[in-house]
Amino acid sequence: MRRCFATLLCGALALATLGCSQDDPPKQAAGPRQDFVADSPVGGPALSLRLSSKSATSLTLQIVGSGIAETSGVAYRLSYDAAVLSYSAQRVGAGFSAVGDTVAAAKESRPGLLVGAVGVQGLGTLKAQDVVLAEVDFALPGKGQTRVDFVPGRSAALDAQSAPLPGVSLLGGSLTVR
Amino acid sequence: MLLPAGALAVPAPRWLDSMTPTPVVPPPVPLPAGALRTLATSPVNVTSIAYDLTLDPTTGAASGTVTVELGSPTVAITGLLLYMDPGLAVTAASSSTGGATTSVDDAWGYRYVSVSLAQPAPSGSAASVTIDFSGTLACPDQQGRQSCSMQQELSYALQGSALPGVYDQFQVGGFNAWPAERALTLRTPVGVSAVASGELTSESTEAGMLVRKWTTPGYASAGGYLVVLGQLETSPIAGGSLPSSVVYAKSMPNFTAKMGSWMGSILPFVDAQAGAPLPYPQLSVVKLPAGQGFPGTAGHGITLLSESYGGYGDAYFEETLAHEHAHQWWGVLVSPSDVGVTRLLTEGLATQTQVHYAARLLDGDARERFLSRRLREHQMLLRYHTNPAELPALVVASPQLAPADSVGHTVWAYIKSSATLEHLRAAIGDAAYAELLVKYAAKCQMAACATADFTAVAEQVSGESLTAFMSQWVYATNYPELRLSFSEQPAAEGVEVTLQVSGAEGLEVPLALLVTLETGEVLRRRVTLPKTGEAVSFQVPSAVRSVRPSARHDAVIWSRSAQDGDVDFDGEVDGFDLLYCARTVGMNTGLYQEGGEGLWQMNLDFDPRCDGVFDGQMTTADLGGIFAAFGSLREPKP
Ligand SMILES: [Zn+2]
Repeated sequence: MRRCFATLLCGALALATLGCSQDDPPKQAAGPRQDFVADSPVGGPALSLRLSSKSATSLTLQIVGSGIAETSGVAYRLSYDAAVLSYSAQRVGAGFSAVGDTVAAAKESRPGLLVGAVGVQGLGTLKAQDVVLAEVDFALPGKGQTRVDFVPGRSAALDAQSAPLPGVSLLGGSLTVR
Repeated sequence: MLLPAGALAVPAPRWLDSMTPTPVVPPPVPLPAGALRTLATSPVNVTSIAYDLTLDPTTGAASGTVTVELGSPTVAITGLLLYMDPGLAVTAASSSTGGATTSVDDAWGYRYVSVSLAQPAPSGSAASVTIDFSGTLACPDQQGRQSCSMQQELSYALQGSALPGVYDQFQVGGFNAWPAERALTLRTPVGVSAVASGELTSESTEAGMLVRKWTTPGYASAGGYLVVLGQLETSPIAGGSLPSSVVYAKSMPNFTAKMGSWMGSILPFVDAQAGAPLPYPQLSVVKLPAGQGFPGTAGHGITLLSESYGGYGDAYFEETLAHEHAHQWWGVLVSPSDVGVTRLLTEGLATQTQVHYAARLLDGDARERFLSRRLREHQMLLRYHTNPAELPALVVASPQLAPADSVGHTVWAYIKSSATLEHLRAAIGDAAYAELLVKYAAKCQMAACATADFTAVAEQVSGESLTAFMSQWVYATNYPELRLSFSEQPAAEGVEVTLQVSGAEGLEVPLALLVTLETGEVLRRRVTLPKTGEAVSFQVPSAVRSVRPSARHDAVIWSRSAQDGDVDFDGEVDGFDLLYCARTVGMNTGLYQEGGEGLWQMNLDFDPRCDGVFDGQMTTADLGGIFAAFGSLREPKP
C-alpha cells in the first residue's frame, strides 16, 4: 500500500528519486518531508534557488548567483504559499562576506511574500560564478505544494552603481511538503 | 557695489576670490544709498571711450590718453571718476568745456582719479574729457586678483589698469558707461603680439612701433575689456561659425590642442543655444597661464580661461571652457541691466550651459541620470555648504546685499542661479526652454534688457504665467521639502494616477515627473502643484511602479517619498532602497576629496536622500530609517 502510494505520487509529480523508493533509508525520522525541485538552468547569468538543508520543521534555500560578472548586491522578493512556507531568518552568503562589510534585511511583508536584500556595504563588487549570495530559512507550517518564485521587476542583481543588471534570469522552484 | 564692464568670471579654483564679479571695489568717495542704476534710469550716458596706449609688456611701462565722451538729456555733467593702476600718474587733463582738474585717491589696489570739469556741461549737451597718464604698471593684488600682469610671456591689462575704467558713480556724474563704444589704439615694440576685446581694424608700423587698432560697438555689456600681449602663438580652431583661434604663450602649448578641439564642439553648441552665430569678424580663445592674476573672462570677440582648470581633469576643463564661452551670449552680447543685483542670467546661464554641454551627447534616461548626478554638486553646495536660510534671493534689492564672502558669493551667483534655472527648465520643458534662450538672445542682443525681459519671453514660449515661479524662487528663496505619495485608479484608457504632496502648501510648484510603469517604461509628465496642497492627477497607459520628480529640481525642491525609508519613490521600502544607500556608506559631502569631481572635487555619488541623519556623512546610522520600515509595501493593486 505504501509502495503504491509512493509510486503514484512520484509519477504524478515526475519526481525522480527523493524518497520514492521503499528501499531508501528514511531521511527524517518523523514529521513532514519536503522535496524542492529547482527550475532548470536556462544559460546566461541567473539568480536561482537551491535547497541547502531541511529538517522536519524547516527548510533552507540558497540564493545563488551564476554567470554574473560583477554585482554589489541582490534585492529580491520571493513569493510562495503561506500555508506551506513561512520566513524565519536570512544570512548573507559567503560570497558577499568575502568582499567586506555587508548589509542585509528581510521581512515577510505579507504572508507568502518575502522582501529581502543582501549586499556589500560601501563600494565593492563580487563576481558571482555559482556563488551563494544569501541563505533563507523557512519554517514549514503545513503540507502542500507551492512554487517559490522571485517576483520579476522586484528582484535583481545590482551592478556597481546599485542599478539592476539587465539580462539576469530569475529561477525559482517547486516545493512539496508531505 | 556697482558692476562695471569686466565683470564676467568663472569660479576660481579652490575658492580663490578672483571670481568676485568686479575688480572695482567702492571708491574712497562713499556711494549714496540706492546708487545702483540701470540703463533705463541712468541720467547720464557715456557714449564713447577711446584709448591711445603705448605699452611695453617686458617692462610694464605705459603711457597714453583716455578720452571719454558723455552726455545727459536731463542733468548737468560736472565730472567723472576713473580707476586705473596705481603705478600710473595723471599728467594732464582737459575737457571740451574748458579745462578740468583731477584729484587722486588710492584704495583697494586701484588709483581713483576724480575729474572735475571747469565748466559743467549743461543738460542736453555733450562733453569730452581727456586724461593723459604715464608710469610703470604696478599690477598689485586687488582682493585676490590682478587687473594686469606684466613682464610675462603672456601679459595682460584689463580695464582698470593700463586701460583706465570709467566708474559708474552717482555722486560724480551719474552716468552709465556700459553702452559706450570703445576704441583702442595700442602701440607696442615690434615683435610683441597682441589680441584684445573688440574688432581689429588695422595693424601697421609707425615710428618703429607696432600699432594696432580695435573698435567695440557701443552696447550695454558686462563683458571684459582687455588686451593680452607678449610672445604669443595662435592655433586655428576648426569647425566654428567664425574664424577662431586659440591664443597662448609661445613656450606653453600644453592644453592648446585640446582647447582647440573642444572649441570645435563648444562653438556650435553655444551658437545653437543662442540660435545665432556670434556676430564678430573673428574670435580669440586665450589660454591664460595657471595662477596668473585672474581665472578667465569673456569680452567682445575674446574668451579667456586659465589652464589651472586643467587640474580638475579634461572633462571639467572642457565644460568650464563652455561656461566661459557661453558668456559671449550670457554676459557680453546679452547683458541684463540689473546685473548689479543678480547673476541669474550671466553666471547662472553660463553654469547651466556648462552642465548641459557636458550632457550634450546623451539623451533620454541616460541624460536624466547624468544630470541628476552632475547637479548633486549644486544640491550639496546649497544644502550642506551654505545656509539656505541665509543665502539671499537671486535678485537682491541692492548690490550690497549680494553675498560678499567667497563661498557665499560663488554659491549664490553660480550655483543657486543655475540650479534655479534648471528648476525652470525642467518645469517648462527642454523644448520650450531652448526656444526661450533663442528668443531671449534675439530680443536682448546688444539691447537694454533686464531679468523681467527674460521672464516675459519665458512666459511667451511656455504659454504659462511665471509670476509665481519668479516671486517664489528668483525674488525670494524657497526650498520646499515635499513628501510625495501616489495612488492608482483604473481609467477609461489605462490608469489615472493621483499624486498627493505635502510640504508645498502656499507655493505653486511646477514639477517634471518621471513615471516608471510596471513594464519598466519611463514616462514624463509635467504637473503644477497648487498652493492649496490639493492632489493632482494624470493618466498613464498602465500600472505604475514609481512617481518621482526629475532630479533636475533637486537642488531647489527637496522632494522625498511620503514613505519613510523609500528612496526610489515607489512607495515601498525594499532591497533597492537599502542597497542603493548602503553603497554610499562611507561617503561624505566634503570638498576637495581624493577622487572627487569638478572644481570642488566632491563625491557626486553622495545622495542626500540617503543621509537620514542629515549630517553630510553616510554611516550605517543613516540606514536606520530604511531598516525600520523595511518591507513596507503599498496595498496590492486591484
Ligand atoms: Zn562665468
